[in-house]
Amino acid sequence: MEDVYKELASHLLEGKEKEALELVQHWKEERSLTEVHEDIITPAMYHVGELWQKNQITVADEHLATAICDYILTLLSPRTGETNGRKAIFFNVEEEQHHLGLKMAADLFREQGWEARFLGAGVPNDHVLAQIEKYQPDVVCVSASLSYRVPALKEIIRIIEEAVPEAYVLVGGRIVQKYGMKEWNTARVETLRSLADIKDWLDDKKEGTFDETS
Amino acid sequence: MNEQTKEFITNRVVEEFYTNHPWLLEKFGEKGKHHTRKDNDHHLEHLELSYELQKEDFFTDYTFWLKDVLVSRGVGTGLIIENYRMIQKYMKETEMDEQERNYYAHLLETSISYLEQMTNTR
Repeated sequence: MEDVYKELASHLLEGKEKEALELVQHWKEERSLTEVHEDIITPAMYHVGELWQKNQITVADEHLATAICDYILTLLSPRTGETNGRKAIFFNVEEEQHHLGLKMAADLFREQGWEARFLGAGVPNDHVLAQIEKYQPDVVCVSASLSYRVPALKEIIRIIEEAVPEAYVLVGGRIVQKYGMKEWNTARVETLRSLADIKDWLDDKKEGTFDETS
Repeated sequence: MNEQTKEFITNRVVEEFYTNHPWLLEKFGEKGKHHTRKDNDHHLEHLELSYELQKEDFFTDYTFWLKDVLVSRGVGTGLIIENYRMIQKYMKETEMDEQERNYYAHLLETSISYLEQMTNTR
């Protein structure tokens, strides 16, 4: 698998959209969307991050790879137009720019028939909150990558819990992936370390809470 | 650490750093100084977060990352070690809960050992 994600990373960094897309689509033929996201695209982008860390690529290269990856995720996105009536909203914690994982998470929900609103990065807390209050989602998903964001992440979880106490708050991103942050978990808040964890959470809830109440 | 403590440490570290290395100002100007200040804000924030979360990894991972980013861009581990030692030194001049102080001292020491090991194995 290492060869595949490194090949993908190299296509992304060289701006080879067509090759990158073909590679992903080829793997998609034999795998689930979660597997493609988690086993190929995520490690490819982590690899891009490591190359920047080691000064082997520039910020511009990294942004080019991100833009192409974003485009590929959009093309893979499962949009059937039909929903099970459940709603989820997705956003990055303030100032966090890394949004690809969050976008993959939104697609996992869509794949299971949920209506997903993806706000992405750069939306100030008060506007996120206004959107949440208007939309009244069943689940709020928030993500942060850089460790600097821990205080902001903690704060927004508290704000959401207050604003929509009935909703579930799912917390993900690199911080949770690396450190677990299980101490934040409550009856309504859950930190999830991977896309597979989100999928398990959705399967679990499908058989429990959401079916009972619908 | 309260804001005043952090500001005190950052101010002192930046001052000493630029006294010890006047070439830094000649080479990078005020912009470089601003970066050194920001870097130290980040070091202290990560120390503080580590303590709050009681996760040592939080700071040591940050040090590993910092080492990669700086060393690959021509800033040797020696400068990071020097910077961490200054934080240790000026931290002693501040008022702080003893448990918290010991935690930071231990974390900085562990990270310095790691950086020294990296320097020696090169």
